[in-house]
Amino acid sequence: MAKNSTSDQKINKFGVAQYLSDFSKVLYNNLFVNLYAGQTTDLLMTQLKKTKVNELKMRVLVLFGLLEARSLNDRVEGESLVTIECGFDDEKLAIGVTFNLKDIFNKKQIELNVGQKNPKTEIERYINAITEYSDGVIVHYQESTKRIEVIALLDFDATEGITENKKIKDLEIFVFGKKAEVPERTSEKYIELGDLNYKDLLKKEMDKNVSEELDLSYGEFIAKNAQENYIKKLYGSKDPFSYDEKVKLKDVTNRLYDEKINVSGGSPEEEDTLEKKVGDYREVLQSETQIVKGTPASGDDEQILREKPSTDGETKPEGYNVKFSEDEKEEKLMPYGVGESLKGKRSKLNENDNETIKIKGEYEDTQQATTVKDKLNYGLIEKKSISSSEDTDEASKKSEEKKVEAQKVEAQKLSPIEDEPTLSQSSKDNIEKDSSQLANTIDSGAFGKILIKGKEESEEVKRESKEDKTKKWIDRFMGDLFSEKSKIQLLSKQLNLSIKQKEFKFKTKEKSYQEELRKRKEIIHKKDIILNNVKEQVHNLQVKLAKAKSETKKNVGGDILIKNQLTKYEKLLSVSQDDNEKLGKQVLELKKQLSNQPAKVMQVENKDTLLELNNMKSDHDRLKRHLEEFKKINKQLMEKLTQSNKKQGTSITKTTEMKNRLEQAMVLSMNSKKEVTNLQGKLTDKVKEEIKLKNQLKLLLVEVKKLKKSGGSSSAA
Amino acid sequence: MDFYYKKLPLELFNELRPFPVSKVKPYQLLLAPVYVFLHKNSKFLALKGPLDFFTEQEMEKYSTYEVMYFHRSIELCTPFVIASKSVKDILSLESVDMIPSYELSDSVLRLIGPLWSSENKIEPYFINIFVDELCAPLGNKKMEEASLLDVDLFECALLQSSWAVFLALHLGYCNLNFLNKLRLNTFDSVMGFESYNGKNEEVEDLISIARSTLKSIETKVLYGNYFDKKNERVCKKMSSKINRIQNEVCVTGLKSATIFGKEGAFSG
Repeated sequence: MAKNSTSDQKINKFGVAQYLSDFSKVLYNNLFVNLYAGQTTDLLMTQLKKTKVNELKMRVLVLFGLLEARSLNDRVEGESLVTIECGFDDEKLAIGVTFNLKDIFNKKQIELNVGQKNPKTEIERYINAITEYSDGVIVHYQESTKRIEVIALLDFDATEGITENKKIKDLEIFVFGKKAEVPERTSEKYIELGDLNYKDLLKKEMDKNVSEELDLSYGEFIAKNAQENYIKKLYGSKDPFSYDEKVKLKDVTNRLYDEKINVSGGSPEEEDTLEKKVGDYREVLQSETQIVKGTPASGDDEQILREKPSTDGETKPEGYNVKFSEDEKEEKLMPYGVGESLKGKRSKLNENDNETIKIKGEYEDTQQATTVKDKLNYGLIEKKSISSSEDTDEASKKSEEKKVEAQKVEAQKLSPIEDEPTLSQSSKDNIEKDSSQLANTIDSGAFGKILIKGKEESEEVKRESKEDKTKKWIDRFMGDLFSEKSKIQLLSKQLNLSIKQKEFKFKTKEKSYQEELRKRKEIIHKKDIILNNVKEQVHNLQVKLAKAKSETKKNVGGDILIKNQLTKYEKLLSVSQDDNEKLGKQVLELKKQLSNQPAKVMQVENKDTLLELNNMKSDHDRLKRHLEEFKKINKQLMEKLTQSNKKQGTSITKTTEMKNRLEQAMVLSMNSKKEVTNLQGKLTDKVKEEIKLKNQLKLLLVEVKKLKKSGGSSSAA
Repeated sequence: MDFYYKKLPLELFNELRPFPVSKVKPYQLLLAPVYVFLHKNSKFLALKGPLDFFTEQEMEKYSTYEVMYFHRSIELCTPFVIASKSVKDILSLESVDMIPSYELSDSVLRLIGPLWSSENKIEPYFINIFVDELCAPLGNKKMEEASLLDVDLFECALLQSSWAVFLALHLGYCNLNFLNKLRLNTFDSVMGFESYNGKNEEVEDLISIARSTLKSIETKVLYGNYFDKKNERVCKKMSSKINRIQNEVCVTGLKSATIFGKEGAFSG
């Protein structure tokens, strides 16, 4: 249950959790800038989807709360900070916006003015607006810090619009001091917006699947999705192409659909029907010997033209002899941008209909089948051109009607289109040529000859005959024969036409499929190239990464090496310094000894000095060796430094450090060199002194000998 | 802070890291004890301890040494310095205002999170290093004055102010100016230079938590699970953050860096 109102306790803390249940969840964010307030709202909304919150109200409250708080806010720690808390439980949502108020806060005045809906100050207007959009408003104000928190409550039930005027609570304002006096009421869970998986949450589910692959804009993506859905509807689940391929093949597909509209009689079934009908006519020609009276075309003709008897007896709208019904056609073709052309075609068809009616009228007037045949392209209806007779019997009338109707239906079926076919002029010419050839064959064939012969003979019979009935019968019979001949010619024409159309259709289809195939191959090829490029890039990156790793390892190793070497240097330096000091001391002592000690003592100590000299020599050699080592190390360091400089252009800091270290090392080595040279100088001095001492020693020895001799002689004396 | 070795013999040269004197700047908090080599005694002598600094006069005096030696415990500070510089780079971006606040706080948390060990603890000394690198200097006079007043209090003020800033960063207060002022205000209030006149109740709570959890320089370690036990709003928020760090950001199996014991230079 939600925590009850604050009437039973003193509020002296900020936070929305105080008005929510113990198991509530609070999302919060500190905003130093109000940019992306919309995204912040979106992110909050992703967490509120499962609740019954009124999204619009919530968005208004958050956006208004944040943006207006900016203008009312005073700078804290030099920065403009607005904190938003959005807490919710099972019953309600609490949106709290906290900021530092730069204006004066007068609790009573705010309560009065907002209560009367007559806000005067900026903060009053702010609170009033929040009150308008929420089911309750609570204001916290800390006098010491001038910090204000405006909490808007949204009741999940109230937001459903059942009880619009229902309020959780009226405006409540709490003004408190600095220190909290009661334990704080908190929420079970506090989540900062940055802790959410905002990337995935803000990314729509569909976007997740596609935009990464294709890098589409939202608009493009929406368009793509809509189109894909349509295509799925068209093809079902067996949609053979992907979106991209479809887009690329759009033009081709359009053409295909256009062909479906413009080309008729292409299906094998229709071809079969055509053959069957031709056969039927032959039968009629053969079997029908009865003269029937011709009937004028009725107003139902148009209906007949538009309707096709189905196999199950129902009359289904056939449209314009295309694969799809009119509505289906429009619906299915719309996504491909052919809606307009379809409408255009429809108007053309209507024009053709009108023309048909007009021609029918003419036909009725002239009752000349040939006129009709000439006027209707590719032969729409061939009417029997035999004048009606009043004395025709009922049976013949009915059979005539039936016949005409059947002819109409068949003509409708056989008629390729009401619209202009999309065949090229050359194709048309070829068809015309073929048809005329066939007609000529019929004319020049046995049937034609028989007809001509029959006509001549019938003229003779008519002349010989005196009975009108016989004459009429002959006329009718001959008329029938000629009309049937013309029908056969017409049908042959249509047959040719349909064959050509079929050929043309197959060719275009073949072309389009080839084109599709080519384009798909191109796409695959492009994809392969992209894939290869990506692979290459990945490979390069891996190589670079490996190189970088090895370099860093080397550098790390190099650093350690340099450090160690530096320590070595310093150690050696200190040791050499110590040695120097010792040597200096020894030199001094030697000098003292030489100058002060009596000859006897010197004689005794001469051995020690020799030893010391030997030691010094060995030290000198050691120092020389060290010097050489230093030089070598310096060389190595220099080489490494140059290498690392070459390799690492970016790591300037490291190289500078290395340089510094190297400089230090160089300074140290120079010092050591100087010291060594000094030592060498000292050594040479010592050697000189040694020589001098030796000379002195010799002289002393000579003197000693002399003294011995003189002593001996004196003693002897 | 007390550290082990005031003097080091030449043999322990490997324990030290040489550094040119020219690189050591006055009034910069030292990351480790600093030594110089005495040729006469053949020994390294400690000049300054950690959390201390050189004045300008001192730098002039010691400039003759050319090389100064930091204790190797300075190497422990590297991840904290790197993280700090990275955070500073982000918050100093000219286009920082163009980054949504939640993305900014997320990126900062991803940088500071790994500073917590997998044992959910961190040493205040390192926090100070992190914050000192991140924030603007406290000021020469202020530092000199504070250190002369009371060294322990100065160190305590450093640690507490750094801890407050570190906590604020966790809670998404990702603004460099704000953090600088927070550090300065906390330092002043701890030193008693100025009483804190906060304008944000949550930041006040953070400061009080920083002061209560890090009462003196004797506090060696700060534990993340401290916040789990508390019921305050700030603690709940911190607890949620620490949980995320432990679950997502923190490097598993990473031992906490310590300046105490054998590894560090400080006497426990």
